[in-house]
Parts: sequence; C-alpha cells; structure tokens
Amino acid sequence: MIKISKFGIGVRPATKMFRLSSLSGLVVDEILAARGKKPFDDKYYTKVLNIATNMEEVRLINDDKSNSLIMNWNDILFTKEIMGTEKKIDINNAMDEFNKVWKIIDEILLVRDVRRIGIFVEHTIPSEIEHVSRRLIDALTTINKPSHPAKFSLTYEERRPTIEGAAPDIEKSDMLNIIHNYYDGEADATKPEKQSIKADLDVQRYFSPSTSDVPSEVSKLKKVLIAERERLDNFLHEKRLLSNA
Amino acid sequence: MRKRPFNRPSNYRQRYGEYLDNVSDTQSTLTSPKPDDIGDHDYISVPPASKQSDVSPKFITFRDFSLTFKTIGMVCSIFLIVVIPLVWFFSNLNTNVQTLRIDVDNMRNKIENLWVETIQQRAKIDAIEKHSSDTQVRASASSPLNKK
Repeated sequence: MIKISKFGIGVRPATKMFRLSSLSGLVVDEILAARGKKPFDDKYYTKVLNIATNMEEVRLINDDKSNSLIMNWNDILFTKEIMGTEKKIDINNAMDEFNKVWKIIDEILLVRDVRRIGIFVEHTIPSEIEHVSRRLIDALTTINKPSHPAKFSLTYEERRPTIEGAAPDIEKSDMLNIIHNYYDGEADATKPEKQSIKADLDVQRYFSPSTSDVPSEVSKLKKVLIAERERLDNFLHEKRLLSNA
Repeated sequence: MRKRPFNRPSNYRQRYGEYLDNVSDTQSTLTSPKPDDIGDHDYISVPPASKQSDVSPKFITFRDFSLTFKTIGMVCSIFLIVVIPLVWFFSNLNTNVQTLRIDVDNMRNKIENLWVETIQQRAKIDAIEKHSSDTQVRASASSPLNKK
C-alpha cells in the first residue's frame, strides 16, 4: 500500500463559531494539558498562535510543524505530516489522536450542526523518472505531448449518493464527495519535491440535516477512505505510476 | 415500440443526478479562509508537558508511600473478585486429615456393626427354620396314620 505523507481531518459546521473568540484560551489550555498522556507525547504541540492578535483563529503546531491544529470560525482542521524520511503515518493512530483532540474541543465549544466532515490523505510516490509531469500526462491524459511540460496537476471530484441502492433524498442534499488530485511534486505549494508524484485523496461527506456525532461519522468515513485508497493503489499500479516492488 | 415503464430511470433518481452534477459549495477539506500571512514570530512557544501532569490525584500520601485512586480501585476489585471467592471456597473444603481418618474409622465401625447384625439376623432365621422343621417332624410322628 502507498505511503501516506500527510493526513488531515476537517470539520465544518453549518454556521460560524463566533464563540471561538471567547473560548479559545480554554481550549488551548486543555489541549496543552493533555500532552504527555496517551496518545500525545510531551512535545505534541509546542507553539500557539498569539490569540491576542488573531481573534478569529487559533493554531497549535509543534517545532517541525508535523502536527497542526487550526480552529477558526469556519473550520476545525487537524493535520499530521511527515517531515523528512520518517516512518509513515498510521491512519488508526492518527484517528485516535484526532478523537482525543475532538473530545476536548467539543466539551468546550459544543460543536453542533456539522455540515461537512472530510478526511484528507496525501501520498508521495518517489519517481526515478526526471520528467514527472510528462510521465503523468502520458499516463493520465490523451493530451498531445508538450515538449517541456512542468507542474502538471489534475483534480476532479466524484460525487456519490450516501445511500446505496435506495432512493436518496434530494431535499436533504446529503452526499459523499471524493476529490482526487494527481500532480507533479514540484508543484506542491507547501513542500515542493522534485522527482516525486503526489496523489491526494479527499473523502468528504456533506450532511443535511447536520450532524453532531463527529467521532462516529469520522469512523464511518474512514471505511470509505480505506476502500478508496485500495482503489487508488490498484489504479496507480495499472498506470505503472507505482512499481510493484 | 413503447418502452416499459420500469426500464426508464426514475424521475427522482434523475433529479438527484442533476443535483449531484450541480452542487457548487464543495471545497477541499484543508481549504479554509486564512487570516493575513502568519509567520513564526506570531507564535508563542510553550514548554513541553511536565511529567508530573500524568500523575493521578493522590489518595493517601505518607512520606515515600503513596497510593492513587486507581491503585486503590484495582486492589479493591481484585479483593472482591478473586480473594473473597477463593477464601469462601477453601473454607468449605475439609482438608483436616485427622478429621478424615476419624470419619473413615466411624464408617468402618458402622460396616462391622452391620455385618454383625446381619450374621445375628441370619442365625435367628436359621433357629426359627430349625424349630419349625422339628415341630413338623414331631407332629408327623405322633399322627394315628403313622401308628397303623
């Protein structure tokens, strides 16, 4: 199975969380106090965005920015990223860490009416070929080969009804949205890497009516993500973008 | 030729398909409106968590002897679930050899008594049978028919 280089869970409530401005200090204190207890190590978060200067956003990161938590009026984003050539990210461990963070946040902010939950994974595939963009154009498109292609990127969304087989409810506009993204590692906005292919999967569920049981819904979405990762792995093998070794 | 109704996709499903094609509020999970550029100078460093924060509240503390609620709870649970049933079980088990030997002696005496009683009963039955046969013999000897 392909290695995950970045993992993120995003929760978007249907309405803005203005209460964050007054409760953010409490949330930060509780999260920092949870460090050193399972599943967090002592240095899980070591830096906090100055709350006094940014009333609408709270950020916690660690020294190498491999762990990050962003909370603002619109979203709560929990991310983990591999820095350098570390071991891979384990989905189950990352889920445990998210659930612990979420429990602390939810106890204070009482997050209700969630419109969207998404799980994002980025896969980095080292490539022996120098011209990664050309390789991706050949494998994924029928575009006439440009002489010097660079920073190739292909993104599309795949929307599905949430209830398989049964008639879905249009009025509730409940659906699954899977965003596929293939691009040249050189085109990465935050961490450009030459001679690498990036394959991102973003599995989202839009809720209507809104949900408040985030851990349970994240757990269900994880199953969809695992199935989609298997599909992606097979697809990359089929397109010979991933070697069998 | 007219198509059969059930071969046509339902209007409802078609409408749902159109809805999925026209959803416009989708975005990547990690895309979120950001405030102005944030640099490292905007962050406040916090020291790593101290090791003491993982220690549960103390229940009993006496110099270097300390017990936590968790430890007390575990000891009580083990006592209730394991120790008490074991003590009850073994208290009902008679392991005294002397008592067992006395029980065996008593049993042997009872068996011997039963044997003696059986022999005595047998002797009595034999005596009764002998007496009855003697009586019959005497009666037949004194009968007038025998005199003839």
